Amino acid sequence: MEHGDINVVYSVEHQLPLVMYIGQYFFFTGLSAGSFVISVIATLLGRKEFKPIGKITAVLAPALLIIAPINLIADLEQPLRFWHLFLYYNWTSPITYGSFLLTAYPVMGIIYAVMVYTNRQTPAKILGILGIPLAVSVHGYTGFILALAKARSLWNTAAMPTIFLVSAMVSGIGLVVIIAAIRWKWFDKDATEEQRAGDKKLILQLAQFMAYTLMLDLFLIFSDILVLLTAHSDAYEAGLLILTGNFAPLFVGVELILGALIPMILVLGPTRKSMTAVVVASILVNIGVYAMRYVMVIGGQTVPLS
Amino acid sequence: MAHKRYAMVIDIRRCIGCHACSVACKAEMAVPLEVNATWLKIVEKGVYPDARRFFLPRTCNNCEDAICARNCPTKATYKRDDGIVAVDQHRCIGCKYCIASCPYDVRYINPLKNIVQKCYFCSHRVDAGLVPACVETCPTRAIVFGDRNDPRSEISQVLAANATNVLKAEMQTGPQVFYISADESTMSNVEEEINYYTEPTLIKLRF
Amino acid sequence: MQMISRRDFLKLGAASTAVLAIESQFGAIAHAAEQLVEGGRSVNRTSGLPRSFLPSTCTQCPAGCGIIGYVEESRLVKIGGNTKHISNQGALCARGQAGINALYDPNRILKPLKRAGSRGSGEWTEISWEEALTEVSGRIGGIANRNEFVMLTDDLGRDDLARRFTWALGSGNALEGTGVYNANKLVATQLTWGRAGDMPDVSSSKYILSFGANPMENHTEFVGFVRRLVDGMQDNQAKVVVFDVRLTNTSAKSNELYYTAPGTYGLLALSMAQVIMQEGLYDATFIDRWTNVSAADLTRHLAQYTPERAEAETGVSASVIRRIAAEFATTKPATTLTDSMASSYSNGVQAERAVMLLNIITGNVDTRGGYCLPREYTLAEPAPAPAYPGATVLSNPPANPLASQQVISRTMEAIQKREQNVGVLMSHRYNIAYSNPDLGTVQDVLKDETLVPFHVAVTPYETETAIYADIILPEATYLEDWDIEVRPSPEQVPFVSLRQPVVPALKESKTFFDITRELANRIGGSVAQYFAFKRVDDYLKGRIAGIGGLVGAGGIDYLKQHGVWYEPTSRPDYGSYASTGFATPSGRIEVYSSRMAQHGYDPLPSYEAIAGLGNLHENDMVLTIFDTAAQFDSRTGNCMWLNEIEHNNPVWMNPETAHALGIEEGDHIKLTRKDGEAKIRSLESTAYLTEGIHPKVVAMANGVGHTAYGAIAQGEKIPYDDPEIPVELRDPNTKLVWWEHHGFNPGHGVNAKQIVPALVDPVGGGQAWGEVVVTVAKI
Ligand SMILES: Nc1nc2c(c(=O)[nH]1)N[C@H]1C(S)=C(S)[C@@H](COP(=O)(O)OP(=O)(O)OC[C@H]3O[C@@H](n4cnc5c(=O)[nH]c(N)nc54)[C@H](O)[C@@H]3O)O[C@H]1N2
Ligand SMILES: Nc1nc2c(c(=O)[nH]1)N[C@H]1C(S)=C(S)[C@@H](COP(=O)(O)OP(=O)(O)OC[C@H]3O[C@@H](n4cnc5c(=O)[nH]c(N)nc54)[C@H](O)[C@@H]3O)O[C@H]1N2
Ligand code: SF4
Ligand code: SF4
Ligand code: SF4
Ligand code: SF4
Ligand code: SF4
Ligand SMILES: [Mo]
Repeated sequence: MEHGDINVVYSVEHQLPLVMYIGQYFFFTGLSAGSFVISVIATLLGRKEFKPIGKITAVLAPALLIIAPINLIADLEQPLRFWHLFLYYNWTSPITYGSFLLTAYPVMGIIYAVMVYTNRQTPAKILGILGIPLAVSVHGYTGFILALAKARSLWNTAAMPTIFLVSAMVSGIGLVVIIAAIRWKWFDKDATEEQRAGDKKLILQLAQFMAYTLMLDLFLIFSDILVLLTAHSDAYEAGLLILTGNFAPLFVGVELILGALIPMILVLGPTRKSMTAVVVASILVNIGVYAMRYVMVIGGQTVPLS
Repeated sequence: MAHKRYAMVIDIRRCIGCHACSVACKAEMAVPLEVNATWLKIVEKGVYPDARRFFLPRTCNNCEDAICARNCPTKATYKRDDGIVAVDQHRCIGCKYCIASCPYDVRYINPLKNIVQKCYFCSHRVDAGLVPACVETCPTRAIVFGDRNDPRSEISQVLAANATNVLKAEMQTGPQVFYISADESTMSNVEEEINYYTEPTLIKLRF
Repeated sequence: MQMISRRDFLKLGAASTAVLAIESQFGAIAHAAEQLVEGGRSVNRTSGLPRSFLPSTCTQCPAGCGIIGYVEESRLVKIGGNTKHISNQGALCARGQAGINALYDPNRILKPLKRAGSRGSGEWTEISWEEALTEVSGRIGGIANRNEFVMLTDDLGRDDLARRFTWALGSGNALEGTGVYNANKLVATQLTWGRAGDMPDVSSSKYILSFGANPMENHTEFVGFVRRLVDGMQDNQAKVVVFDVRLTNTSAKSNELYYTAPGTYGLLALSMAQVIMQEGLYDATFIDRWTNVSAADLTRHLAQYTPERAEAETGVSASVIRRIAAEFATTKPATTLTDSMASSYSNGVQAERAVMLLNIITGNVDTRGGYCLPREYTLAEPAPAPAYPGATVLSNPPANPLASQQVISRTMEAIQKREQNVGVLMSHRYNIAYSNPDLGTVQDVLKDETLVPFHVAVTPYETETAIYADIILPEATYLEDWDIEVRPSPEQVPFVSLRQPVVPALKESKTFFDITRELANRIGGSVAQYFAFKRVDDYLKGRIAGIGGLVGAGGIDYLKQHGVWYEPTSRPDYGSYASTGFATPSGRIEVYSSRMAQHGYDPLPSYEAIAGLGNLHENDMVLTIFDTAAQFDSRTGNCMWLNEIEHNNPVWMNPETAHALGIEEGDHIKLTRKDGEAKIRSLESTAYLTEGIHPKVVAMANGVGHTAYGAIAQGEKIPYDDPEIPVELRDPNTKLVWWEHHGFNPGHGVNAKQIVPALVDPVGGGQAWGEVVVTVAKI
């Protein structure tokens, strides 16, 4: 110790209430919401070359959203009581909204997917338009879960829901790019050269869209951290924790550099025409977003409260 | 008659840092090892020979605007008419959102029962006309408990006659545990930590 | 700032209740009924149903607080305070609350055990009580010389049965643990004012001067005392000044704190006395009427102890000494505080007498708010009382003629040197292999079958001492046991309390009363008559026979119902010496001790520097071992709620000293004792740097560092469904012991006493704990 330090001679340790199941749950809902939005954009634009992507994403969205809540239930200390959420709902709790959204959204998603696959354009479009706010809410609410837990200064910011949404878009697009690229490479043999060139162009365009969303994401994160660093002492500490503290390697190294900066260079730089580069970028983007969920959920709880 | 509003005043001038309240609570509430509904924070600061030691018994504030209750998705955590914030052990699903939301780190998952618990001002004792277990046991009578809405109660008089503080007033949760003469940096979550008795390894990552 | 204190409020509450009673005649709501009650009842947490209860007495430390055991389905579920008890008034400390852990310790012994392997191997076979009692009584019956029965026991008076049993056997070797604690203080007070001990009346004091006492963490009357001390400080605005070698809870709450060089506080007190005499601030009438010295002689004697001299040795500046001496003399009432540590030096008796002198010359003796005589009842020895068998070399070593409290630090050494042959050693409530100095020798003697041919341990637990037994008799814990308890009253009104079983003794465990009675009956002859009680009540009745008021109130039956008794109209009889005189040869306070003069000791309070502590070499430090609030010596070692709080004892060091030695926070260090005879010379631990310690002192906590006493005491988990553990003792919490791997000595710290040599003040015979000089090095 140095002269004049404050020694905490006695205090007790505290549990870390939310573990990575929750981070993972956030990650999967994000992916789902992202893919759904892409799917609906594809459906709405109605162009033939968008069809395959529209179809992939239409299945991905509800599928991912069935995986997501499994994480949530696994995290419960009393998983067999999950139905209490519906029986004893509390409208001031974001989790209550979430429970209903999480039920409504996959149902809607499945119907939408059926429409898309059976080529019923009009109902698909209507459902798609109705579904977008639902998808946005499903993921936005996860941001609210963190933002409204006011104890944790890393979470308790107005930017949190938006950051969650934008990063969800980023990871969702990334996933679509990866799947579309796989289809293009191995499962698209019957297509004409012209079709294949068109598909490739589309994938590259999607990737560029991803890069721009990523920029928005970075801007939001930047402003969030700037505010943290200038706010009260808890928030300042939270900011330092991820910038220079224990979580810096994950936040700066994985989330910012590996998961954002490098993908942006890959997608917008000289390699922008390379399918391989674009796919690598999309994988990195997803690793980055996963790291972001980790930093947020776990890091957010490590600033001592007492 | 008007509602009761139970509250607690901890007079730090009388607190000698003896841990009796913490152990009484373990016994009264069957709080398992590893977790604590109340505990004593001890801080040392200053330079030899002027170094001093400060005590701060900590527990759930049974807040007026309890964010834990607001955020609980099943209303398992709820506020009683007398202001005590309680947890319905049969309704709680263990989502732990209340723990994540509470700014005071006073809730815990009972490792033997897998439900969330915290101090509820010993409401079972209060309902039976008794003061909480920690209040009963305190060797120096540092803790005063009672109905703030009754101007003749001891707690009302103590609150009227003394300047008091609450933890993290800026959180706007309306804490109902008031401190007299608590040291400010002991109340805050200070950065420099050298833990002598406990080593910071208990935080668990389960997966 | 005005504060309505708890005391004022209670008074006020009583007054307003009276007012309300009148009001309610006119239809106002009776308000008092809505006040919550402080205690005396308990309800089930889920059903809200009241629990059945029995009052008893806590034995987790000497204070003997009144407790209430709350029981559900014949299981003790909670311990609460007895609000009727005049000392603790319903409050309990952490250790009292955790007593339930001691009752249901999973490793508790519930069947008689016979040693199976070599001594200390920890291998046992279960035997029947019949077999155990036959063997033990046979062994005792076969002793050639009566004094070869040696009893190691808790403070006598509180362990009367142990002494009775020993004396009934005709042995004078009932040896109590007091010698390792405040024997020097007891001897000093006995010599000076004719009573062993003291009881400062702190709730009414205005000025309190503490010499190394730390009542906010440990006191022999902990709850009762500290509650009144805080009343004095808060409600009475008493000023508290503390001299200590480190920052304690008490010094943290004090108005002023002065770090004092170890072992010098006798000089400090004498220099203050010198100032008081020199400046004429003394109480001439009191000195004249009630002491056996004259003010003039005393002033002359004290002249050598100038504040300047004291400053040089103690480190407290002369101006501070002058100011505090003057404040102490002029603020009335005032008192000093010491506990055991103040006199735990080889100049301890004189140091204690020097502190007493401050009270004496200022006339603060036995006044309201002053330095009071201990007020406690004396219990009778139930008839027929065994005769005192006479002194032995162990009970009254010739080298220490004034040591009325025995010289237990040296007992094992004496046995090793065959000054006393041992036939049977019985250990009861005294964990000598944990609590004594020079533990290496203690272990050697206990292990050696030629020195100790037979050792029977009467204990609920496999303690550090019991592991060296040949037979362990499973004793009931204090929560299943009977006894009458008296303690010096912090309220200055003496009381009697009863220890009674709040639950029946578990499985095959037996109370000490039953064990001694059955042994005595088997030994037969003249021994049996002393234990011919039909029921335990007959014995207990005999003990309180001399207390007329209690007998009149209903005697044992009253105690069974209320737990405690005191003369209800009694008020503190301050100044009682005025009618009776002091119980000294001269009837006065013997500032000049004739008995000390008789034996060639300096008869006036004086100071002799302790040789080893004076000019410490640069790398030398003095080791202080201190008590913490959550542990009590050996006794609470197995209480999980306490171990969760205190399970480790790294070495306190001043950062400046540490840095000079290249030691940083958390570094592994080794303490090596410089000199003195003790088998074990060094110990290893980690450094804890704190600004709250004298630069030449290193300090370690007592109460941890168990190497036996079951898994909890050693910081080990116990699987819940371990088939070895009887169902009654299973507790799922024991699998949650999280501190298992904590610290340098994982889970349990280290017992610092092992490197302390057996060294006593020749006058008092009490252990000089404070004189261990060590070198500290990083490892
Ligand atoms: N919690 C708890 N309470 C207890 C006990 C327990 O084990 N735990 N034990 C009980 C018993 S049996 C006894 S005898 C008493 C013991 O009561 P105390 O004697 O008060 O206890 P210690 O902690 O041994 O010592 C008190 C202080 O003396 C200081 N000290 C050491 N050397 C010096 C010195 O040279 N000068 C000065 N001025 N100070 C010095 C130490 O720093 C320590 O803070 O406590 C009783 N109460
Ligand atoms: N370095 C150093 N050493 C010290 C001291 C010090 O200040 N410094 N203090 C000394 C002092 S002051 C004292 S008084 C001695 C005390 O030394 P001891 O008298 O040895 O210690 P106790 O804690 O009284 O416990 C004695 C034994 O009583 C038994 N026992 C009987 N009934 C019960 C029960 O119901 N519950 C429990 N849990 N145990 C029971 C346990 O087996 C326990 O081991 O230690 C001394 N040792
Ligand atoms: S019981 Fe009382 S004195 Fe002891 S730590 Fe708790 S509040 Fe402080
Ligand atoms: S202190 Fe925390 S747990 Fe207690 S009522 Fe307030 S918000 Fe809820
Ligand atoms: S863990 Fe239980 S009490 Fe806490 S928010 Fe979830 S359901 Fe409510
Ligand atoms: S009021 Fe009851 S539950 Fe709360 S800290 Fe005190 S003893 Fe524990
Ligand atoms: S002070 Fe001693 S007797 Fe009183 S409750 Fe504490 S351990 Fe028991
Ligand atoms: Mo002691």
